[in-house]
Formats: sequence, C-alpha cells, structure tokens
Amino acid sequence: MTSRFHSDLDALTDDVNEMATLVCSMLDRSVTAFANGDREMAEWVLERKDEVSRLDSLIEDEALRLLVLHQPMARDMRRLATILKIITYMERIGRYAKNIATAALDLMDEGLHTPMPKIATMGGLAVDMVRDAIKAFESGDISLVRDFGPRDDELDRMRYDYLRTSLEEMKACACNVDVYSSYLMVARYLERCGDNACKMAEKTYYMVTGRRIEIR
Amino acid sequence: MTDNIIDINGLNLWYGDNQALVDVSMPVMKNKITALIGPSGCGKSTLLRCINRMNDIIEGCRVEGEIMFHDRNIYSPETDVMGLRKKIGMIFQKPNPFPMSIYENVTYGPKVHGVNSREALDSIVEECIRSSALWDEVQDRLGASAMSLSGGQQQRLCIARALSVSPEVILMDEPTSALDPIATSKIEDLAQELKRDYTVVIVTHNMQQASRISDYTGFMYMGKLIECGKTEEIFENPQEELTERYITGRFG
Ligand SMILES: Nc1ncnc2c1ncn2[C@@H]1O[C@H](COP(=O)(O)OP(=O)(O)OP(=O)(O)O)[C@@H](O)[C@H]1O
Ligand SMILES: [Mg+2]
Repeated sequence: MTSRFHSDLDALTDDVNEMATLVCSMLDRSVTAFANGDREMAEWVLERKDEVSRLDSLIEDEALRLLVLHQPMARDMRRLATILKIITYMERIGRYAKNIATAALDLMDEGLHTPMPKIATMGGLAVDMVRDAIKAFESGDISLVRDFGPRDDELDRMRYDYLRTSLEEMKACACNVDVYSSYLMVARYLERCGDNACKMAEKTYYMVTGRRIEIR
Repeated sequence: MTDNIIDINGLNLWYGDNQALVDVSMPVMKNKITALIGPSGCGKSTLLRCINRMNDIIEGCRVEGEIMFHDRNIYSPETDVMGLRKKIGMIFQKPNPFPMSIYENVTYGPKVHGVNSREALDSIVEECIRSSALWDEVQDRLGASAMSLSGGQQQRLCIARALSVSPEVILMDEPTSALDPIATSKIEDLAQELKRDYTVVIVTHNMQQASRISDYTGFMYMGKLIECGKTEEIFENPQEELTERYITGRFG
C-alpha cells in the first residue's frame, strides 16, 4: 500500500537527491576551477547558487508541510528529521563551493593564478566524502560512511600542512601573500566541507538505524 | 519509584473457539501510563477487560495464564472480583454516566461500599470531581442531572466516579474517541495528572495520543503482543517490522 503521504515523501527524497547531486558537482567543479584556473567552470558554479537556495527552501517547506499534516512516526519521522538537517549541511557545502569558485576568479582577474595541483588532492578527498555521504543517504548503506572519522582527520591534517607551507612561502616573499592566503582559505573551506559531510553521515546513520553517533 | 503493579504472564483467551489473545506477557508499571495500540480486532479491549475480569460475564469466554496484581493471580479462584474491580476501575469509549444527579454519580460507588455519612460523601464528591478537572464547571450544579453535561464533561464525570472508590489502576478504552479536540486534550491532561496517584492503562487508536501521553506502549496484532517498551522508543525506533509498518501507516 502506498499512501499519498508516502508518495509525497518519496518525491521529497527525489528533490533532496537532486540538491545533493547539484551541490556535489558544484564542489567538484569549484576545486577544478581553483586548481587549474578554469574560468568557465568557476562561472558554472556561481550560476548554480540560486538553484541551491531554491531547492533548500522548497524542500524545507515541503518537509514541514508533511510533518504538520501527517505527524509521521518511526522511520518516516526519522527520514523527515534527517532531510531537514542535511539540506542545511548541503546548502553550506554549496556556499563553500561558491566561495572557492569566487577565489579562483579573483586570482585569475588579478593575473595571479598559478596551477595548484596539491589543493586538487585535498579537494578530491572532500568531494569523495560529500559524495559518499550522499550515496549513504540515497541507498541507506551506512557502511559508506564507516571510515569518515579517519578521512576527516586526514583533511584536518592536510589543512595544517598547507598552513605551514603557505606561511613559509609568504615569509619568503610578500609577492606570495595574495595567492597563498587564498590557497589557505580554500583549504579551510574544504576542511569545513568534510565536517559537513560528517554531519550528513551522522544524520543518515540516525535515519537508517534510529541510533545516534558522533563522528567528530 | 517505578515497579510493576501488574504482571501479565502467558495470557491466552478464547471466545468459544475463537482465540482472541495468544500468549500475552507484559508488565504494567506503577504510576505510569501504558498505552495499547493495534488494528481493530487485535484484542486490545479484550486484554484491557482481562485486567479487571470484565470478561467473566461474557458467555463462552475462557482464560488461561495469569495476571499478577500485588503478587496474587487475579484469576485464582479466591479472588474477590467485586473487590478487584474497586481497585481496578474502567472508563469506556462512550461516556456512560448513570441517569442520576452529578452528585449521585460520584457517591454511588462509595455508598455501595458502605460509606454513608453526608460529610464523608461530600468530601469524596469534591475531591474526585476536582481530581477529574471538572469542579470549576459543575460545583454550582451538583444536583443537576449528569445527562445535562456535555460529552467531554460526562467523560470526566465517569472518571470522577471511577476515582470515588479509591482505585489503584484505571483502565481506559478509547476514552476520547467520542470527544472533540478540546475535550480530548482535557482528558489527556487529566491522565497525566492522575498518574501521580494512579496507574493508567489506555487503549487508543490515535497514535499521536499514545505518543503524547503514555510512558510505555504495547503494540498488538492478531491477539499477540508484538512489541512493548518505552513510548519514545516504540515511536522513534521500533524493533519489530510489524510495529514499524503499523505506526507508519504501511499496513494492509
Ligand atoms: N464478546 C465477544 N464475544 C465474542 N468475540 C468477541 C467478543 N469481544 C471481542 N470478540 C472478538 O475478539 C477479537 C478481539 O476483539 P477486541 O474487541 O478485543 O478488539 P480491539 O483490539 O479492542 O478492536 P477495536 O479497536 O475495534 O476496539 C475480535 O476478533 C472480536 O471479534
Ligand atoms: Mg476495542
């Protein structure tokens, strides 16, 4: 039996998956834009910003509507509670992607962009975490997020690594300050994306099992 | 202090050849509200009626197993059934006040049990009607017919009547299903108040009601108790697939 409520809940889940896919490609492309100095990609990311806000409010309104009208229980209640939380995390990841793309464009506008393959590695880790958190939500397969603790630690470690090298470069020559400060900012955004992926994973774990965990 | 006031152990019940309860075991915690939920015909009312032996009067009804109340099996032959029903009262779906005055509804039970002094009866009436949150509405017209009250007021009068013989446990079978939301919330608040001094077992079809007011919830299906536990746990994360399907409306 599928009730009206359950088909509405399925449709809402489809919207969440759409928002997730969008946010994940935004992050992926913003990293490429920053690492390779790809203007088109950076612009693609900035153009998607409004779409994220639109999905965010659409999903929130619909989730609240379903909560109020149906007062769902158990699995359904956990799914709605999870959706209400993870759209906030996804919206933040979208905002970091936008910030990274803006940083890339700023450097290009000032003619300062230099290829930065190292940040692509860190970006890859962050994107993978976001992608796995999303897959876990879509499929209910929480084994995908089992190693999020160590993966998040790795992002933190890389961020401090970049902090150290950047400070050295900036000390070596004031001409490096613009590039490396923006490099540092991006490393921080990526680390925050990892944190948000962990939050998504925690909520998904609750949705699937009914139990709460803390990854970080 | 929370402990079991009632322990139902391996209870089976037949109406003629039709088995309506199958090996039901569950505790009822003292000074808590326990809700029984489940689809129509699953045996909720039957189980509730077993707790004060209201099924005795049904022809062809046979019970096996035990219900322990104060360490004694209420189904043992020595049980004084009248005395048991004084300790374990019942509220029904449809308010059923006696066709007498408000005052007489409440004094009826105490009189049967031998209370006769006017003063004692007056104070029972005031105390019970206050406890059932009806005092402000009826104190000026205690002599009026109970039938002149609204449905929600009648139901609270029935609760006052149940309280008048100082029970320990109050059984309620869908007590609000005939009431509007305001009267319902009064009964729900009242149930919360009552659990300070009494133990409440309530049958309800309203899942939100069960989750709002009860401390423990039992889910029944086809005569069996499928799952029983803390209300938050049953409604947030039930352990049995059947419970999950029922409370999320995926049944049928
Ligand atoms: N007096 C009776 N004589 C014979 N069978 C009965 C009697 N009362 C109940 N039954 C049967 O026992 C089963 C359980 O009924 P019960 O009234 O306990 O269900 P319930 O869970 O309270 O249902 P509802 O939610 O509709 O009130 C049903 O199959 C019903 O037909
Ligand atoms: Mg019934």
